[in-house]
Amino acid sequence: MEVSSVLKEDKGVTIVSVNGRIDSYTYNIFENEVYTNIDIGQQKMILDFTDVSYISSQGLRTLVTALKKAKAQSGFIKLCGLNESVLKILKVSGLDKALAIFPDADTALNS
Amino acid sequence: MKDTGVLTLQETLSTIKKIGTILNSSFELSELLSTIMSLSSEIMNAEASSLMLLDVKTNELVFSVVTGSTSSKLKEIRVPVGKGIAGWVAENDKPLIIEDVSKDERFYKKADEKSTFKTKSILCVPLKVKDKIIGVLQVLNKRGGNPFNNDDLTLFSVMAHMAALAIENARLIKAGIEKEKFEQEIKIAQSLQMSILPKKFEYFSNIELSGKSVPARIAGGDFFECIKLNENEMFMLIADVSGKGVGAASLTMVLMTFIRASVSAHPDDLDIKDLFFKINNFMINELAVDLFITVFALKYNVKTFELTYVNAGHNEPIICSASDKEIKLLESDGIVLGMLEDIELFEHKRFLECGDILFLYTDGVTECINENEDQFGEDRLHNFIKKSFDMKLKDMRNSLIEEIKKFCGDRDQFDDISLLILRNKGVFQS
Repeated sequence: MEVSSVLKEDKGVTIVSVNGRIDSYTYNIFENEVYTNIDIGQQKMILDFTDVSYISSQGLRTLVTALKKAKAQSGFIKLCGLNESVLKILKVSGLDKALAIFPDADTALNS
Repeated sequence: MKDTGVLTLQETLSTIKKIGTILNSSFELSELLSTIMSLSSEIMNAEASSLMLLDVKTNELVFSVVTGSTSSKLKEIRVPVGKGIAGWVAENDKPLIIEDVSKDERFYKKADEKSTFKTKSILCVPLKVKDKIIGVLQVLNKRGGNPFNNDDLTLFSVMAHMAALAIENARLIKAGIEKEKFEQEIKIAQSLQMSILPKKFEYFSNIELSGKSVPARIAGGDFFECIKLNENEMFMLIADVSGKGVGAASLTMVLMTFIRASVSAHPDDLDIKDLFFKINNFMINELAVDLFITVFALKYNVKTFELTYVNAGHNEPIICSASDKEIKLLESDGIVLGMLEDIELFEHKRFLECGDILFLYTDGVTECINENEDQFGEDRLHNFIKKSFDMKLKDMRNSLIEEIKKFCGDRDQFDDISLLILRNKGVFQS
């Protein structure tokens, strides 16, 4: 799995692009990237899941914890580009109600 | 090394051999680091030496061992990569000989101030493993008054290369021992977790019931529960704690105890929604752990065949009809427990016809993957249930676990697999 962050300076928003499966073996890479962004003051994040094929319960936990951390620092977490199976995992867990979900990064950026 | 002359080839080879023999004699990291230091001072004929390892999290060099007339206070010093002589060597991945540190503005005086040692000359080389800097090694003040020279640099670089490999080797051994200890702890947690799951499934004469949990190598947090509430009803629950390891296994045991106590207190008027709210509050306010659970629970009336259930973020259980093998899913419209204070949950009711199977499971079943990254998936599971519908439930669950193992092949089982299956055998006879 690969994760990279790009700061959109004009909007003060960091776009985190994730590629691959977020599962028991890889979630810590994703978690480290997202938490580090918050730690260094980039707590306004759009997580681009266009190339994510699966997210495990550990990944979901990272999303909710990151959301709490970001909100505590007046930031936000927005999700975008979810494919059908990842969206289903979020819906089954009920977390789709707690997270802001957008079709793509541009829509999330301008929302 | 003699400061007055150049080593012959024979002497150099002999010194290198000596370094190799000594470095290979220790696998314990702190002992090895001390050995490298004393060997550095001795071989390079220096008054003192120091070894700094890179802290990759902070990108700072940290004093690990110091020798000579220095102070233990040095261990408190952290040198940012890029700062000072050592920081320059780490950043530029190049060795440095400084004949007179007072004339070099890169010199970082903090170490001397802390230790009262007076540094005059330095020979500093990077410690590298597979092209990655893991630290720096330096010797200070060559005895006899002469500065370090290029021959010293050549020998010290060879020594640093051997030292870096020995450090990496010791780290790997240490990690292996810690991993073994960790896996032992996991096994204990795992066996405790398994020991408290229900094992006998004989509650009512008109239901067949079977359950099993197969833990992954790194214990996860699956659990299930069956409790006879009264003469007509039973309670069933299946849950999955997010996360792995001892933390998840411990939380599982705490939650099972909490659930058993809460359910047993209300044998005739159990409100599952209320139970879930209590679990949610307990996790957030009392446990304060950064984990959540998905949980599905039901009450089943063996006389009316009525199911009352609540689903909090758990994958949808299945009813397979005895008449036409049709698959129906029990909706998940609640949210996982333990993460958010304000949650909404919904209670639903269904009826089991005579012969129907109710199949509860955790996501380790459908989300296990094979070497081609294909998931076992819901379709395979549904087909399996239809195909093996007439089996005894104990055989059905064992057969499914075998089928999953076969599907995964050589790929590790990365999540717990848990199954809890019920069949309505028909009219109740007390």
